[in-house]
Amino acid sequence: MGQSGTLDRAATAAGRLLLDALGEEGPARSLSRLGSSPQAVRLLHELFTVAVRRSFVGRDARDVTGYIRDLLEYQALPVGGQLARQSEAVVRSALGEPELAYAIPALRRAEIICLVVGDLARPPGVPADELLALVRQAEARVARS
Amino acid sequence: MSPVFSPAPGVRTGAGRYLQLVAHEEAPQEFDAPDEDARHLWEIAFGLAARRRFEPESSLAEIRRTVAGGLPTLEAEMLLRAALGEKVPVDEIDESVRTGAHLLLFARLVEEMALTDGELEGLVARAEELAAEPELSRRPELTDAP
Repeated sequence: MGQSGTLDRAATAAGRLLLDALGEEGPARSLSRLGSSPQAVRLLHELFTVAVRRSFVGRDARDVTGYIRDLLEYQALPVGGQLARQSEAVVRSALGEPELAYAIPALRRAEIICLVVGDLARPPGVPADELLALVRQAEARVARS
Repeated sequence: MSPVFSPAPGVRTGAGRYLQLVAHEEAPQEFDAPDEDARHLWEIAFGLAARRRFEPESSLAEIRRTVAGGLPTLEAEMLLRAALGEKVPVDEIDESVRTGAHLLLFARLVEEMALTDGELEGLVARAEELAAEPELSRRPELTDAP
């Protein structure tokens, strides 16, 4: 999925890095390599929050369980054990249950965030305009904090 | 085929009596190295209590209130949801956590339902019956509300 048409429209360099990573072949892996840019990592976390809330607020919390199973299956990762529970915890932490993710190691949390945000680009993917709007919203959250 | 005569009522095993003590908050902190049969019985009793307390589609907020405190929250929630028939991730849960959750949640469920001593005894005795039937004991059993 190509997002190159949006690359010059993000407000910040970090935003452009994220959009660039999301346009690559393995977006989750590309996002996980942004660690050298603290601004991009910060923005990635905000983008995760924005994307998760837009997807799940107002829905049955059980939908998170099904989404995680689908996501891990798509990534050929195990769906029945600890990774699935941790992934659900990290997603639900952005939906008002932060305590669920307290015990999850930072590296694992970061991996899960990359998987979920990278999933925005799973075919057919989020439309380019919507993706850009999400990134801008995340940029605004970073600027406010 | 159901037996013509119901089995004699009453709890028959040490693991079953331990469950009654747990529900009354009178159990010693550590059961003396529970064997597989004891853990199996506790899991069945937990499942019976869970399905008596909750409907399969009970709200997660309600379930979370039951599992909150004293246990790894998400593991406990998943075990409870699995007992209600949901397809949730319950692999890779440490045996001690699993057993502890079965016991503690059993006690909480009994407390929440305000079961009488007789109802508690009947529940544990039913779990013992199911535990003695290996082919059947793994299947969820729907129970009536208390």
